[in-house]
Order: sequence, then structure tokens, then C-alpha cells
Amino acid sequence: MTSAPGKRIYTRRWIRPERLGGSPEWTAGLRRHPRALWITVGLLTLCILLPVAGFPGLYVAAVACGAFYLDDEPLELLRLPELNAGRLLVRKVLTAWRNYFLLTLPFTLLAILAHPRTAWIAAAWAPLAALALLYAVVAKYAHYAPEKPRRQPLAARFGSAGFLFPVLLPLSLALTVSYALRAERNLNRYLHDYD
Amino acid sequence: MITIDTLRVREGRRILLDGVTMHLPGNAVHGITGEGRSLLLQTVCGLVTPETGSVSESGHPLQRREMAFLAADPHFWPGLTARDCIGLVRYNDRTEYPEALIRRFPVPLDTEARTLPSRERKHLGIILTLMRDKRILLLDEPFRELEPERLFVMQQLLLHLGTEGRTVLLTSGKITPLEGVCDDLYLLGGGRVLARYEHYELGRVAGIPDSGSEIPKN
Repeated sequence: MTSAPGKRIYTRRWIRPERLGGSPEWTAGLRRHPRALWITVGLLTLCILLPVAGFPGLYVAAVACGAFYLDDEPLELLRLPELNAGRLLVRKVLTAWRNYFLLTLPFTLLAILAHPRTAWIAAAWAPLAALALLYAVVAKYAHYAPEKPRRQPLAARFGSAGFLFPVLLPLSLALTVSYALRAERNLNRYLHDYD
Repeated sequence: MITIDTLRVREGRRILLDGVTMHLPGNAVHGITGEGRSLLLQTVCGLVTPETGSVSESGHPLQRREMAFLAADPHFWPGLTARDCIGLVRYNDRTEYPEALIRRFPVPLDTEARTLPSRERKHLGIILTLMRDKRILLLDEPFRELEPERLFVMQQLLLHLGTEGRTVLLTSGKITPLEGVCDDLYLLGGGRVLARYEHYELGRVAGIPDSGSEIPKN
């Protein structure tokens, strides 16, 4: 995920941390992958034209947004909100949900208006997309180490795959609980002063 | 009063700081020079864990929430522009207004912060550190990379910070920029405090060729 030195990023001002709930992950992610963003917008528009593909497409986009949480931010950035570990985790998860559901709102409305008969799929899409983002956040902070290069453990990769291959979904759910507990303990090492 | 008490930092077999003790009164600007100065600042900030010793204020451990740290060579997260970095600080504290600092330390705002030249990264680091309203400021080499006119601005800012109730700890490889700014200066060497100078002694110390006005960098 780390961009190569000298690689140009998308520097337009419509992407702002203030508009993205103060999330450095979403700001950096959208700036680093502008092409992927426009391709996703195009693909989602295509998916919405098809009767059943709209909400599954939106769900895959949620899993893809998990990629924003693959890199560890510097410690100064982690300490910036001055929150303790539990509160910071809650804020990160809520911000991820906020950004995802706000950015996909036009597509959701279009999907419902274009194909009202398949609107019931939204009832499955919303919790699954929220779960995929929750997993991405807790998996990141369970292994957060600011001064070391990030290596995603094999279990965490299987956990991520579980959101695309239903056979592995029970593993993903178990890992979500385990990582949530571990993330708070891990962050306490860096944020104990903010208790 | 910040008390650094018999601090010892080890890296493998090498002892980098050994028994460093300082008593730093609040609301003042304290200079640190000599070998191990950056490491001492990182230890005070909690970025390095000491083997023994403590850093406390009035008998209580120094809280990170009270401090802002400026690294000697600031690095930024890939993908964030300078405007984003400032926006993130402002998002978390809406009372901060960086405009005056941006005028004094100009930075191209719509450029990726990580790819800026080292001088502009330093400017951005100074803006991000000083715009946060922290009581204790730890500035690692704040004068390095600065042009002479910015160096003067930085000295004026430090004087202002010292008089408005902040405690500033700053390191410098050269003593000359610290003259007239610091209330006292600690000289480190061999992992220990070799000497302490009062503000009125700095001019004399900087004038002596062998006194460390050009002390080797870490």
C-alpha cells in the first residue's frame, strides 16, 4: 500500500480530512488511489443498472475500502485525537462506517429506485459491509506497531478473505472478536496517558 | 519543575545515556547540546524507554498529553498533503489557527507532505508542533535547515513561548542560535551531563573555539 517515493498523488482540495470525519486513512487512501476510485465509481454505476448486482457490488466496495487500513500511521497521528484506546477504536470504526455509507449513499438510492423489487438485499448488505469495515479497523490496530514495517499475519489474510468467500466467514467473525480485544490492549501501550 | 532523574538508556551493550539528571524549571526555554541530545528528547517524549530513571513533573510522571514533539527530520504519512496534515490537527482542535505560522514558515500546501524538500518538511513540522496548544514543547533541532531570516523568526517565537508560560526543551548542534533565547544550556557528552551554563554565560561559551559552538552532530 505504501506509495513509491516520487509517485504523484491526487491533490485536489475536495478530498479533505474535515469532510472525511478526520480520518487520515480515508484521506490518504483516496488520494493515493484516484484511478481505483474512478474505476470503482464506474463499476458501481454499471452494477446498479443490473437487477441483482447493485448491493453485492457495494459490498465488494466495502471489502475493498478495508485496504485503507493496511498501513500503520505514525504515532503522532495516532495520538492526535488524544483519546484512550477504547474510545479511539470506537471513533475509528464509526468514522469508517460514516465515510463508507455517505460515499455509497447515492448508489444505494439509485439501486433502490432502479430496482425496488431487490431492495430487500440492502438488509443483508448494510450489516455485512459494516462488519467488513469493523474487521479492517480492529485487524489493523491488533497488530499496530508504528516503527516497524507492516506485515499482515496469515490468519488476518484468511480473515479478510472470509468476507469474500463465505466458507471462511466463521473464521472472520471469530477473528473480529479476538482482534477487537487485542487491539484495545495493543493500543493501550501507546495511549495509556490518555486514560 | 520537570525533573529528569538518573536516566539510563541502553542500546544492546552500548550505554547511550548514563545517569542523566536535570532539574528544569517551568515557563522557561532550556537548551541541550552535545552527544545524545536527540535521544534524551525522545526519551522525555516517551518514544524511547529508559532502562532506569524517570522523567517527572512535581513528583508525577510527565504526561504525553501535555507535550508536543518536533522531530529533527520530520516525516509524514504517504498520501497526505501539507494541507491535510494541518487539517487533521485542526479537526481535532478547532481552536487552532495556523495562518500566522504558515506566513512565517511557508509551505506548498497542496503537495504531498512526505515528498517535500527537507527544509519545507521542517517548516511543516514546526507549524504542526506550534499550532497545538501544549504546555511542554520538545523541539529537536528546530534551527537546523532554516534560512537565516526564518532562524530569526524561530528565535522570536521561542522567546515568546517562554514568556507565555510554556516550557520549551530544545536541542541544537550549535550554541550560537541559542544565545539570547535559552534560559540555560546543558552540555551532554559520554552519556552524561558535562556542564550547565546560565543564559548570561552563553555568549562566552559560544565565543570560545573549543567550547562546543560547533559540537559534532549525533
